[in-house]
Amino acid sequence: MTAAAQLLESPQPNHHLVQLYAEPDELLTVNVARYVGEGLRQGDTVLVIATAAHLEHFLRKLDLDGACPTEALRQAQLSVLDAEATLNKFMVDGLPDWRRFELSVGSSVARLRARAGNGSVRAYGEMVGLLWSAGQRDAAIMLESYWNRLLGSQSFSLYCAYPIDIFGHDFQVATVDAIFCAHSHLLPSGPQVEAALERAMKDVLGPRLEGLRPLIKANYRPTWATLPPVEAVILWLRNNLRGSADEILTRAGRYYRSSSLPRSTYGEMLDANGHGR
Amino acid sequence: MPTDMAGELGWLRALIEQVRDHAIFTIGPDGRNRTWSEGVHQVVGYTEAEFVGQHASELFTPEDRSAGVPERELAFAAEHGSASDERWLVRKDGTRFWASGMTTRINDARGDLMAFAKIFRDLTVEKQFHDDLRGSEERYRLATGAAHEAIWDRDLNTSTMTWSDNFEQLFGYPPQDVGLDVAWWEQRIHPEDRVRVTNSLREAVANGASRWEADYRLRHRSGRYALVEDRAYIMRSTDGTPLRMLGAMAEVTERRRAEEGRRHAQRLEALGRLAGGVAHELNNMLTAIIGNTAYLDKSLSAGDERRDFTRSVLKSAERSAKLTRQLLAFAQRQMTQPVQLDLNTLVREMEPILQPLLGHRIALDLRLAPQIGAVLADRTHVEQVVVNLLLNARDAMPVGGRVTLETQPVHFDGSASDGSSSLIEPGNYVLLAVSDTGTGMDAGTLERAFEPFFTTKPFGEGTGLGLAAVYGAVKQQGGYVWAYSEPGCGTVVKVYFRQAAT
Repeated sequence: MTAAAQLLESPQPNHHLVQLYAEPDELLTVNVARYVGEGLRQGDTVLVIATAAHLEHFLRKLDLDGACPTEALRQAQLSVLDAEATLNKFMVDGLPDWRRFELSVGSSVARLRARAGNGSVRAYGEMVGLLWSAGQRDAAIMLESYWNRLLGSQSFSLYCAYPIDIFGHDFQVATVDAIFCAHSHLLPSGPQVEAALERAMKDVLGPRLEGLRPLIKANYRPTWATLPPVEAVILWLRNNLRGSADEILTRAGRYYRSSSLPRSTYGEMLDANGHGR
Repeated sequence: MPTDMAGELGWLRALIEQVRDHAIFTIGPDGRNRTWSEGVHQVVGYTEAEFVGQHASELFTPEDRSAGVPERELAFAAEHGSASDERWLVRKDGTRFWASGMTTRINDARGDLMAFAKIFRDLTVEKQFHDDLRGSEERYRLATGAAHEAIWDRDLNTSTMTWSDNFEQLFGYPPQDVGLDVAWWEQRIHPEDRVRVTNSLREAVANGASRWEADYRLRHRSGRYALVEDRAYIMRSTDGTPLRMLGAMAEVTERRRAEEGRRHAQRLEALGRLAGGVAHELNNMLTAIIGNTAYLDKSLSAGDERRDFTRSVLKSAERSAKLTRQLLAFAQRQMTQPVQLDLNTLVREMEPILQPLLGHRIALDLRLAPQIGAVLADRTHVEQVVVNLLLNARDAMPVGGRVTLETQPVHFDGSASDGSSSLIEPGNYVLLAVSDTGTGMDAGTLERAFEPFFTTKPFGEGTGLGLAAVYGAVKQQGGYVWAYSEPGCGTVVKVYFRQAAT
């Protein structure tokens, strides 16, 4: 089992995972269904805070995977909340308010914690993603810090999702470093991305690529969060090969989207020291 | 007397002697009995020796004698040729009987009064019948005035039925729509009850019974079936021939529902105690199993193959623990964190995620009354209730339909006599009702809908703990829950949460 699969299936308490995705959200659906479905199978109590559109995809995928989401909903083993409605409960003047956050989301987690008994609690949330999409990036990062406060006081794992296209301009260190710093693991975008990136790099860099490989591997931008190698390479390209990065990543994005390979996540991850995990 | 006349009289006498149920005798102009027949003995008990010569007025009651009735009767017969009457007479043993008779003047050859011929018979039974009938008719009149019973009268010879005016008020059929034949009534009996009811009535009539009763469902003009209690007298002639039936029919749907609700609640309570007790004990044992296995698991090195076994034990134990938690939910032994909740706000916050739960083929209609007041309840429990009820509605509408979620404040003052609401403790409540346009449930399914592990879904598709969890969650909040359903008519589940003190 890959490290990413291990993270999704058996996250440790206080793990704070993050997933970047671009619509259509097939990869996100696959990963969330795995995280939630495996939790249900293991007897964990699960909280999903999502948009209605995503929730529908998740429930359908969970159903297809045989995770019986309906039965879990009936038993309150699975609780679902609307991301926007939940967000509205604690946002004050464009920023999250800790006291209100604790009262709403904190209470929800505490109730699930109480119901879980000996089992674990895992949560999935898209509120930060909504804030990010709305351009309220400071608010999103502040909300992440609130989640981390909760993770420090209550035993549960958390999985966040941001609508950030890793081939787009937003995916560069200056923009996403704060996100990575708020999480314990960035989930990989999958081998399809790796294949698309490799092909695009070969297209654009040609013979130079082999010469650059050691540099890329040695100088990827580490943060204290765990990054998958592909995302690390992209960040390196954005940071160190600005002249070619746009063309490489545009091509890579095109290759990825036209790929007929099924989307899945089980790529390798590198820890902060660049070692495979 | 000519021989042939004498012979004829002899034949007549022989005939009279054969008549046992009529007293036939003659009375002289002096009012004394002159002759006797066996019928006299059978009807009033006198022997010939006792009877002949006795004053005919002895057969009358003292009050009639005092009033001069015997004399008046003879005088009337003497004057008009005959006198017929029905009145109480007295037997030799002093008992009274209701007699119907006739006194006829007998003339001699000259046309002068020679005697009176008197014939009467005991009609006490018939009188009782008529008294009963009058009593019934009295009851009919009384009952017709009572709003809750429809009175019917069935002629067993013609198979016609008539109904009291309030039949329209009770069952919706205006008089012009009510058929006079029995078939009209029979056609409105629920198909599942029809044979039982008509057979029992036929048997009661055929077997000489004086009463008939049956409980069944009768179709209201609106299409719904009302549960009715039907009770009737069967009127018969003296020889037992059935003549009429006079019945009173009352709708008892709500009363039965209340009785059923009470009985059902007691049964679920007993089930809850059992489930709770078992789950509690099981939970204690599972805690030990999980704790010790986890300890054992941690003590094994990462590559130790025996960890597969410990993981397997842990997984099974966790699943068992999950099951016990569900049972504890039904047994109302969950941890609760009651807070003041506005159900309208909660529903509105849930609204965006409710549609994905229902799917595209089902429309969600929210009817939230303003100012419903807060309830004191555990938020997770209430969310679980809403989700369960909506998922049930969804499952009942495989080809789509409409779900209506409604809230409204309700006050019960303890005076309710209608159905389930009579079981609710007085006070202020907030009603959360979820209704669907789905397949509905038959009575048997509805009866067991809240029981743990009861499911109509195919094996493996449902644990049957959904509505059980709703029941447990609602009861634990001090609320009440009822489901109403009929096949093809959808289902409505009403949950009453206690309003929080302000």
